[in-house]
Amino acid sequence: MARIELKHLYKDYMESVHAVTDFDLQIEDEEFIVLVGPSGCGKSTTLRMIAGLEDISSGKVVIDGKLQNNLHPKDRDIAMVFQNYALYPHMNVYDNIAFGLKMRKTSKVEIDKRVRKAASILDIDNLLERKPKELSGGQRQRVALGRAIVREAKVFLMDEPLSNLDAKLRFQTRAEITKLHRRLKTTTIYVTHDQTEAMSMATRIVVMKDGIIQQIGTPKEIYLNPANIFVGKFIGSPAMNFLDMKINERGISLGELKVDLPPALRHALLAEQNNDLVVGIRPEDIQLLDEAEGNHNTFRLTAQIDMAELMGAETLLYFTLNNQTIISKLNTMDDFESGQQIQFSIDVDKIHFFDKETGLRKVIEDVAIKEQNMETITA
Amino acid sequence: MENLVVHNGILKTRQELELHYNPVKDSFWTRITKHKVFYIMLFPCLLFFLVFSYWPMGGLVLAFKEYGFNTGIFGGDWVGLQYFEKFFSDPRSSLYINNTIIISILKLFIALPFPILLALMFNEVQSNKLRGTFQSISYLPYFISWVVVVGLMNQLLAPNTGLINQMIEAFGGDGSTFFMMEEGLFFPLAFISYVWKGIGWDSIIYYAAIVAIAPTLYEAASIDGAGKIRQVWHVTLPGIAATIIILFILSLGDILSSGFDQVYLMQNPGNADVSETIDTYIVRTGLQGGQFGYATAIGLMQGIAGLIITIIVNKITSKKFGTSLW
Repeated sequence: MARIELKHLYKDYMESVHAVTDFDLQIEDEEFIVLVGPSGCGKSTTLRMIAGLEDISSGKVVIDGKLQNNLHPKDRDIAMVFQNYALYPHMNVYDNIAFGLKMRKTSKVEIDKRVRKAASILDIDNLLERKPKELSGGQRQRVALGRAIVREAKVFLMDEPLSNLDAKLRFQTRAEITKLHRRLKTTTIYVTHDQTEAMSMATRIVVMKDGIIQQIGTPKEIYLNPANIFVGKFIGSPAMNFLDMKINERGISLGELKVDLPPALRHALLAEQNNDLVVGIRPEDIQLLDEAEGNHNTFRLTAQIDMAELMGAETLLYFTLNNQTIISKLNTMDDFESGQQIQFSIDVDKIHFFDKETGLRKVIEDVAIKEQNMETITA
Repeated sequence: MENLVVHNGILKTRQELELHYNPVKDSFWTRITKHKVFYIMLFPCLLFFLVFSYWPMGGLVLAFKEYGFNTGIFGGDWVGLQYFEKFFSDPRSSLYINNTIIISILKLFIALPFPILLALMFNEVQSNKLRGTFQSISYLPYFISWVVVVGLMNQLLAPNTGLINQMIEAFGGDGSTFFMMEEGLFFPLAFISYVWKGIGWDSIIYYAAIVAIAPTLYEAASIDGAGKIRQVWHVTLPGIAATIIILFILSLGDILSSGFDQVYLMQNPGNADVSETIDTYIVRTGLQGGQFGYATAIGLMQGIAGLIITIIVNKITSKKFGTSLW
């Protein structure tokens, strides 16, 4: 268990390629940090810099107050789980798990004790004599985790460990890793491109794009208050809907669609120099009108359905608004026809406002809502 | 219940599921025409082996027949195992076999680690350009014929005028030693020149095998606490073990053939007792002495011994390491 300080990390290749730029993060003891972002966003490079597998162009990696920059990976007291498992093909499961301990000259009795304990935790006791090629993907993944566990290292680094598993196994193993973290309480840094993994596993998420941190926060913070359009788009499935709208005297508008906003919010938006803005609405915040009836702070929207997708207990409805595709996620298994006219209702409080030019979340929104709440309380 | 499976929501037995099984059988010619492109590509290879490997095998009959210039290969009288008896009753035969086996052991076993070590070294060179240069330099001797190599050795090791002798003389020693004539130096010189000539070429396959090892294995080993040497021992060598075994088995077929041209060219009256091998003996008796039947018999014996050893070793490696030729 350890406290990790990543101080202004940079990774450049041949001066012109900036893989990671100014990565600055303090990780507290026992935290489960997930670095998430699309391919090539620098998340794995950051992890590899922490592991010592990649040289740092600038910045410092500090674990428990000790600078790690010039330490060899073996001297950093870290354990790593790789995307392709990296199991030694000629060794059986027992030897694979024991290898790190053997290299550190741990006594045979201690090795045996730790290997069997890890195997028992991961439920691979019966596989110890098998070679990696005789294991399924899920079993290999458990062995890779076992190799990390026995080391009893201060930090666990996991580089997309579930990406080679099928959906069902990924779901199972995800829960197992979370349970394992609760049990071992080892500070963990986990890299993934899957926002579902990030949301379900992390104590804090770091969203990255083009080597730059976009936002750091708890899963709830990131989901409810995305710092910019990219984060709003990346976190959440289906992605947040975005509409280019204009601010006017009464609220916001898009062609014939006009949305009246509460006065405080309207005034705050009008105070901005630019009349253009991007509105973000989560698919689950676009509901059928009758379901949202009774809420005074909603606006109505009538649209023709382009397509309906039944996802099990939920249904996704696709419709077009001023040439922009919008998705609504409904908790229903009702049948919908293409071309059917539907009336939707959207809660104004759940609308996100972003600057059109910078893509940044408009902070005034929070101020305005607070003011509005104050007005309500006063009234 | 064990035999029952759910099929489209209904419990069925395995037998019921097999009811509609009607295997699609292609005739031999249909299968051939289905993959005709591959067979067309295979044809030149088959033709090559047929003409240059299998057809000449018919000539092996000469090992049991008397050859006559007028009767040809197939027209002579049968002589049974006469040639084999003759070879094994020759008091010098054991010397030829001995010399052949010593040279083969030097080439098969002692020389084996050298190209592997060179490939490991190439793998450690970080600059692609530098590695490419080193590799090209190390391959070049392979393309020099043994005639030139032995000529170079004669020049380097010549008494008084050779570079080695001149160096010895410069340091106050006797610079008149005729190294190539020294019986005790024949095996070391044959070994060194063989390694020098082939090390770069032989390292190509090992290097290709090393490159194919997943880099994450080295990274995992590095995090597990293994240094460079231990990474080589625990990751690289096990990673190329199958390649080493396959190449070793392939080379075992030549265990009774120590390589004719090198030995023949290095042979001189001074080292005749250690340099006369089965190969040189075959040429001397068969081609130069006109005893074609006798030479064929010795050649057949070489081939059979190589085949038997290959089969045995292949079986052993298959059981022990799970790697084999077939």
